[in-house]
This record gives sequence, structure tokens and C-alpha cells, in this order.
Amino acid sequence: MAVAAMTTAAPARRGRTYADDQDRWLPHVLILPVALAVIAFILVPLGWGLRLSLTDTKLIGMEFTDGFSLRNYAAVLASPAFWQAFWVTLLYSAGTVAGGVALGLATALVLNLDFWGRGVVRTLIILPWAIPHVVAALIWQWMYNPDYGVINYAIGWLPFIDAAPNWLSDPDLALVSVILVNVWKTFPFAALIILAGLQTISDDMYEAADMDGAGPFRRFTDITLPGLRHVLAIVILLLTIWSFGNFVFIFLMTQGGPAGATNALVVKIYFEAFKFFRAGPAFAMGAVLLAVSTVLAVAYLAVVRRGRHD
Amino acid sequence: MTDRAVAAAPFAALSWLRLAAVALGAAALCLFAVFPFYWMIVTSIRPSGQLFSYPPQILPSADSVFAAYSEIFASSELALWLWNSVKVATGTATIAVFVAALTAYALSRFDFRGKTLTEALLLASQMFPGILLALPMYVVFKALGLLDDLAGLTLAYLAFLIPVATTLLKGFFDSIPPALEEASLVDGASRLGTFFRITLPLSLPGLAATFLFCLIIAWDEFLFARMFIQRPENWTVSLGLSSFSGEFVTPWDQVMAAAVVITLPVAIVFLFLQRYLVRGLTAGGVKG
Amino acid sequence: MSTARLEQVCKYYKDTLAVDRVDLDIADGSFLVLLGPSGCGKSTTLRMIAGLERATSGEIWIDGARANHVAPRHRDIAMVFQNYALYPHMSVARNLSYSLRLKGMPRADIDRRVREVAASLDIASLLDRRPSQLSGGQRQRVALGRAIIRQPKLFLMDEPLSNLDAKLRVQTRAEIVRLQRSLGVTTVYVTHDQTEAMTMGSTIVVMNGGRVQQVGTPDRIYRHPANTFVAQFIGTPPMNLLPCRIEDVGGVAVCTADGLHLPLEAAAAAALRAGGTGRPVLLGFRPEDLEFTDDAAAPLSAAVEAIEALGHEHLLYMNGAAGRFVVRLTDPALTPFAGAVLSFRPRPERLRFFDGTTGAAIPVGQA
Repeated sequence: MAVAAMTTAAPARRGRTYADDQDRWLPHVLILPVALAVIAFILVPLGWGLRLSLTDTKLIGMEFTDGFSLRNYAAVLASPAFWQAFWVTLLYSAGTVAGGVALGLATALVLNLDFWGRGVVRTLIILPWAIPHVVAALIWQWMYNPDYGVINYAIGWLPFIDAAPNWLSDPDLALVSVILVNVWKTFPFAALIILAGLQTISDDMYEAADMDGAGPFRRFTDITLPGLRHVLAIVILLLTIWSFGNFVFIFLMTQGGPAGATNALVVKIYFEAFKFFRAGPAFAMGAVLLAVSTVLAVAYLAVVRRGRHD
Repeated sequence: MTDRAVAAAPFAALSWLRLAAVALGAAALCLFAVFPFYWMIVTSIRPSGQLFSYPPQILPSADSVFAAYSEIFASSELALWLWNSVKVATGTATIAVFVAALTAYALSRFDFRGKTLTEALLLASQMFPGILLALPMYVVFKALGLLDDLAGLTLAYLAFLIPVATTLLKGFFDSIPPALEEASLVDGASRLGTFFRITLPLSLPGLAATFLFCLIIAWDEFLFARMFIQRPENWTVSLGLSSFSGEFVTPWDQVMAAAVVITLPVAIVFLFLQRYLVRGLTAGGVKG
Repeated sequence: MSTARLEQVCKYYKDTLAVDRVDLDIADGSFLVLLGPSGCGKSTTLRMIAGLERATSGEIWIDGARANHVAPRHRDIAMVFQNYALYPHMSVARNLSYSLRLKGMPRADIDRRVREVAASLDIASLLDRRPSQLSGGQRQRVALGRAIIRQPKLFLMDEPLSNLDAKLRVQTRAEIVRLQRSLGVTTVYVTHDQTEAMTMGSTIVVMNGGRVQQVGTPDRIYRHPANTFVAQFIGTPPMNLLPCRIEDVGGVAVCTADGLHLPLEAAAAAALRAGGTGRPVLLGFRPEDLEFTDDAAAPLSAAVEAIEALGHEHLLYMNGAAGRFVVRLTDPALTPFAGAVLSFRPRPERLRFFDGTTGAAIPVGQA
């Protein structure tokens, strides 16, 4: 019938939380394969790439000059072609994000409503995401065909345009054309993620705002958009990260041309290594791309973690 | 009756104007999304004589033919490409799921030093452009003689498939209540015994979904294949199909026929899986 | 002989101390209830007895052997989880037989035992169903069956009734007590519901903030709470506590505050004087421990602020200069009204005193 005696102060050691004898060694064994894979397939290549960027090397063999030189970096950072490629990459990403988020948001808003045929619309919207990149590149290439493609045919119907644009060969149009393809491919993903975010906003808030006198536009700006803040941040970051690495569309449709108008960094690096056999600059550019990607990845992780603590 | 917002709230009662606007918007978005797919199919069944006619016909012509399908199989190595892709995709997906499952389970159930680091690395590694991994791997593979080899490609794909599979599987394991495993531990099973008797049977759908998703990614992949494979007899479907791009005279009906053959299996699987994927993505990364 | 013992057991989660130097002695065959509000550490303590959590420090003894590092499966204990944790991919029969199959029991014996247990819990008709096809009450019984089929040394139950509706809860409460008595298995039962604890347990351990507040029989805890937390956690409505001072008035120790002038009996006076007069004290009495009086020199008076008519009794919410308190009125002849000023005399043997600063009970003589 006694209350626990207060003797010495409680010790401050931390305890581990496992419930079976095997728990002592099992976790470490289980993560071993993936840890090895991550080291072998990610850390080692990235590190090796960095190492190679600091040397002169040919891709033919593994021989490279010893020692470290920043010559590749100097050459790359000084070259206007590199900065043009960087600029193209930024535009490509920005365009994809703008288009993808805008269309994704519109689609999500539509899909959030309850109407007959909603399931059908949802299935159809997913198609661009389901189609392989190479297939998509070829289909759009055919559609963009200046003489026989269906897009120019459709444009011909519009009364106020009588040019038949050369979508992929015109330096002024090429970038927009590939951006459009990337927007088409990625907006379904954006739509589904934003839709999931929309569905977490409770109806009660809209009803309360409605009673307070807010019209549809105010409800959108004051409830929907703030409620989507986290989801939109995720989508924007993901689309940016993916656009930075997007290779197939540009490579197959414009090969980086015409005149470098669509020469995004990833494509430029590829050509640098495999067409011009200038491995050193290729790795140096890769390192720059890695730095930018790391910043984006860290930003993404931060946003995700903040969401987890809400 | 108050006007409910179309844009901001999921209310069923809509005024006619808003209803029309929604219908128009939905139709436009659907058209945008579906048309290229539709065009691919229509082109593949258009008689080759009508391909380059102007104006192009939007609707399938009355005398649609499937000749393009047999022709493309005859005039190209499409069957071989399909077989190569099947080998590579199933091989790499199997290994990836197997390896990832072990680690995903550890990440889901245990706390250990370096756990946050592992999770962050896995997530971050999916953020890097493929070329950053592919270029150095190319150098290494060349030295090891693994280039131009489908087995080598299978191995190379693991670089990005394992992180993806681990993240997805962790989400699936997280959804199995720990209390079930605790009940099993109290009932007399060891940790491994619990894993095989309780966790694995319950996570079979998740394992299957992850396997299929890895299949799709491998099937779709182009860059690594382009860099690591040379000889045409080792081409995957991405390489094979891309070889038609940029040629002066492209038999578009045959090319689109090949495209349809390549697309249909993965599109069907994908449509079936996407519900899982969005849930997995929102649980793991988006909504936290 | 005790089935289980905890000595100075502590549990840290990162920097939070969830269980703070808990000592428990679980007697053989007893029904021990760990009672407390959520977050008080009762579930964590239970899980440490199960072996699902490791104690950060302290000793856990099961059946005379030190069990800190013994895996749950070697402890010969069975557990009923709050959400039942039935294996969804197995039928009821396979759920019940799981532990026996792990032990490698012969098939015939397993079948016999399953049928026996299912009959005793009235779930024999459900043996081929999956958990998803069962109602909440049925699932609960399967969970119980899974535990008793093993004939373990110790039953552990983690709030097994909290997911049932009120009527089912009362029914199942009685069933669990009957079951435990007939099987005679030592049981440790976790709940936040004091009614459950008071009606089911032979020994109650009240916990708060990771610390054991009091261990005792239901009656003991009700009549002699060890501190103000226990006094107010047990009992509906909770024990009334009025702040007061102990003063010497003409040689007589008096418990006094505004509106309160209570001369103390010898034993109480001695106990309270021992700590020195003038220190803050809390006077405790339960709503049923007051007698009405017309005496003008009554110890306590107050005005009726609100009345709750419950049919079999009235609860009077009083507000006086000494503070607010609740009185239980069972005499149907008396009909007070709001605003009436009433006088009371507390029954001296029911008075409890608590230190105004620490909340600990001040023991009075031989209780």
C-alpha cells in the first residue's frame, strides 16, 4: 500500500526498442544488400565521376592523367555554350513546371467534383503518364511534322494563321515544342498528386467560408490555394528535378538543336562524351548538374519532412 | 439557391453555366491527354497510301488495315526487341524487389543508427539525373567488359530501381499494423518467423505492385540502354523504336504499329497500378 | 509467490521519461489493473512485462527468473491487444491455433483445444470465418480465445474493451472476470476507465506521469487515496478538495477557511499538528460523506449553484466561501432548490487530508 519510494534520480541512459533475440542482428543484415547497392551504384559512380572531372580522360579506357586539375571546370564555366545549355535547362524546367502545374491544378479541380463519367475522365487523363517516353517522342514527332502532321493541319483550320510552323526545326519554336511534350507527359502525375491534396481539405472549411460570404473566387484563393501549399511545393520540386534530367524528348526530337536552342545540360553532356569524346568537360558539367540537383533534392527532403511534422 | 463554386468546392449542385464550363474544361483536358494515343492507333491502321495525304483524316478511314502490324514484325527485329526487353525487365525487377524488400522491412520496423541517413540517401538518389550515374558507370562497365550485354544492363538498372522499390515497399510495410507482428512475437514466433508467416502474406499485393512498377520503369528506360548497348541484336524496345526517329522516309504506319505493340502491355499494367502508386507517393513523401 | 515483479523499472523514449522507477509485485492468480489517464505509462509498462519493449533500467522478473532480455516468445505470456490484432489472412480457427502450431503440437490435440476454447467463448460457429467478417464483440472473443488457448503463466490485456460499445463493454467485463477466476491465471489489465478498474481488479495500480501513485484494493484506493491525483481520478464525481489551514483555537485544532470551521478529532489533530500549524492543507471528502444539518454552528455552509437530477439521486453543485464542492443527495424527501443555503457536517471518519503543496495524503492514526 505504498507509493513508490523516491530514491535516487532516474538514470539517463537510452534504451533500444527490440522485441526478439534476432532483433539484435537482423536489421543490420537486412539493410546490407541495399546499403551495398547504394554504395556500389550511387556513391561510387558519383564519386568516380567527380574524380574523373578533375582529370583529363578519354572514355576509351580507364587511363587518365594523375593529379587534380580544375582545367575542365575552368573551360566549362568559361564557355558560353555551357551557359546557354544551363539557360535552356532552366527554361525547359520552368516551362514544364508552369504548364504541368497549371494543367494539373485545372485537372485536379475538375476531378474533385462529383459528376457522371468522372472515372472515365480519370482513366483517360492518366494515359500520357502510362505511355513510354520513346513512344511519346515518336508520336509527337509525327504530329509535329510540318507537312503532314496533324497539328499543322488543325492550325490550318484557324482563320488567322496561315503559316505552317516547323515546330522542331525552327529555333524560335523548338524549345516550346519539346516543353509542350513534357507538359503533356507530366501533367497527369501533377493532377493526381494535387487531387490527393485537394481531398484533404475538408468541406467544412468551404461551407464556413460560404456562410461568411466568400464567393467562389475568394474561396479558391483563401482556402484551396493555402491548403495546397505543401502539395504544390512537392509537385513543383519534383517536376523541376525530373525536367533537369529529362533526356529522351530532346534527344530524339531535336537532338539539342536547332543551333543549341534545345540543348539542355543532360543532352549536352551526352554529346560531349559520346559525340565529341571530350570526357573531361562532360564530367565537369556533370558535377555542376550534380550540385544543382543536390540543392533541389535537399529542398525536396526539407519540404517532405516539414509536411511530416504538421 | 446559393451559387456554389466550380473551382473551389466539390458540391453536387451546380448552376448550368458552371456545369457547362466544367464539362468543356474536362473535355479539353481529356482531348489533350488522349489525342496522341488515339493518333498512334489511328495511324497504325491507316492504309499506307493514305498516310501522307493532305489533308490528313482525323477519323480512321473506312478501309483500315492491320497490315502495318505484320509488316513491322517482318521488316524489323521488333520481336527480338520485345524479347530482350522482357528478359531485362523481369530480371531486374525480380532482383530489385527481392533486395529492396529486406531493407524496406528493416526501415519500416526497426530503429538503428544511420537509419535517417539511409532513408535520405535513398530518396535523394531518385532525384539525380540518370546521366550522372550512367557516365561513370559506363567507364566502370567498360573496364569490366559488361558493355553491350543484356545482363550488364540488368545490373545497371538496379541503380535506380532499388531505391524506388525500397521506398515503395517501405510504404507498403508501414501499412501493416505493428500490433499484428507483436501478437505473433508474443504467440511464440521469432522475428524471421513472423516475417514469413505474417508480414509477407499480407504484403503480397504490395510486392506485386512494386514488381510491376519496376517492370514498367525498365521497359520505358532509354538513356542507359542507349549508352550501354551497341549491337542491334541486343536492342531493347526503346532502342529499337528510337531507331525510326529522324529517318528521312519513315513508314509511320509501321512505326506506330510497333509503338502500339510496345505500349499496350505497360499501359494496361500502369492503369491498373496507378492507384497504388499515388497512395504510396502521398503516404511516403507528399503528405508525410 | 509472485508471478511477476518489476523493480525500479524506467523507460526512456529519446528524451522523454515514459515510465519512472516503477515497482510492482504481481501476486499469483491476482487480477492487477494498471489504471491511469492516457500517456501515464501504463501501456508501456505492460509492454515491458510482455517483452515488446526493453526497459531502459530496472529489473523485470517473471516466475522467479530475470527476464529483461528474454524475448516475448520465451516468457510464456499471452496478450490481448486493444485492436485485437487478429491475423487477417487466417480463419478464426487458424488464428486460435497459431501459437500451438508454432509449438509443434500434434494436429489432433490442436483441433481438440481449438474446439474446447471456441465452445467456452461461444464462437464455435465462427471458426471458418475471417476476422473481417466478424463483429467487434466477436473479434474480441477470438482475441481472448487466442490468449487462453495457450494456458500461459500470465495474461496481459491492453484496454481490450475500449473499442466496444457501452452495453457490450459491461457484458464483456463480467465475462473476463468470470474467465479469469475460473482459469486462475495471473492477469495484468490496462485501462483508463476507473469503473472497469474498480469492478474488475483485485489490485489496482494508479499511474500518472510515468509514476505509480498508489497500489491497493479498489476499496482502499477509494477510501484512502494516497494523494490528490488518486483522490480526484477515482470516483464520479471526484473527491471534493477544499484548501484550508490548521489553527489552534482555544486548545482545539481547527481546520479553517472562509466559510469553513471544522474542529478536528484527536487523531486527526495529532497527525496534522505534527507537520506544524499554518501550512496549507487540502480537506478532502467524497460527495456522499456529508450530512445535512440545521445547526447554525455547522462546519460548512454554501449555496446551491446547480442541481443534476439523476433519478436515483441528486447531485448538488455547491458554491460557498470555502470553495466549490459536490454533494450527493439520495433522500427523496429533501428537495433543495438553486440558491438555497445549506449547512453540512462531514462525517469525521471519512475526512481525508492532503498536503497543500505536494498533494500527498496526510495519514491519520490507524485507519
